[in-house]
Amino acid sequence: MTCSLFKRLVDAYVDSELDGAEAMEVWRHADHCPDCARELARARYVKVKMEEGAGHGLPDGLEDRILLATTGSVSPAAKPEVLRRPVWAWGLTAAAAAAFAIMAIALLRPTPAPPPTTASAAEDSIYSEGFDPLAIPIPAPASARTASFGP
Amino acid sequence: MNINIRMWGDDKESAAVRPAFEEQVRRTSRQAYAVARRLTGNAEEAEDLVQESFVRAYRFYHRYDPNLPFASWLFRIMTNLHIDAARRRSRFRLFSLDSQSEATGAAYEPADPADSPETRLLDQEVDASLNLGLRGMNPEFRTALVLSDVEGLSYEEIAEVMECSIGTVRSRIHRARKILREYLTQSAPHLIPPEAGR
Repeated sequence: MTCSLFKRLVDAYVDSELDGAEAMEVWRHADHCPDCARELARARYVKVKMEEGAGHGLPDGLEDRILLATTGSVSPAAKPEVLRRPVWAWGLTAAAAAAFAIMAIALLRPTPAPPPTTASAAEDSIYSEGFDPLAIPIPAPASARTASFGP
Repeated sequence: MNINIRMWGDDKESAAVRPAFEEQVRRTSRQAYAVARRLTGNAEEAEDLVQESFVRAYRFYHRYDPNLPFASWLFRIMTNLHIDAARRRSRFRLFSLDSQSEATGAAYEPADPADSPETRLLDQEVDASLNLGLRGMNPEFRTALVLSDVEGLSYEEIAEVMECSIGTVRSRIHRARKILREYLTQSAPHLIPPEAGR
């Protein structure tokens, strides 16, 4: 194999794209041609560095932007926490809110006035019926009625 | 740049396609980004290329043959977009030293913590030099090389993606790698290990 042919085949050799016989010839040539051995080392080096440098992770949010731009959806991981609650959790929340509202209404309702005592009820009825409490005759004590002051 | 174009309506067909497509996005977006990153040489352009490729894939999803790997079909779309964009760009923008800052200033993934700082620095320098070398070459050469070295596709698979013969793929990869070797040797000889140096 000539150096010129070697240089044409070296990249396919590095990529394992030569058949067995060709690959063997390339290997044999590099084994006793220092210049071509260096060319082979350089080809391998470039390939390895190309592979190594490509290990970039996916940027944050790119997948979501792709989904949004295509299907219009967003992945579950990107949804805010509050939107990812299961249905039963929403039901539970609604029930708790209703119970709270009922309790709040019960606690905040105005307290009714205590039932009137018998005496005050009698006074109320007197006023409401137009009686004047001062006009009610006051009964005299029994001793006064029986006492005699003169002969 | 955010591309937000919905191609399907909310009809029944869309509803049937959506879950399958979303699964494809989840499976292939990482690979697609790795390829795009090498094709474009920087993070921002890579994101745009990936997003645009998926948008186009969704638009033409009815043409996709599910018996074939989705990734290959996506790469075909991506490489066509990339080559078209590179051709358009070359009409009005020459490769300049400005692009060096893009290539070197891009955010790099943190290297293995076991590596020494010197090794990491050297790797970043090699990576930046490779990106510069890639940017300066014909987009067809670059695409063939990236599909081979980054995605690990065989020459036959690359030929399918790029819709050309295997011989053409072999020639493109050979020429691309030769350009990179020469570029590294001339511009950054200190990056070449001794056994591969002149």
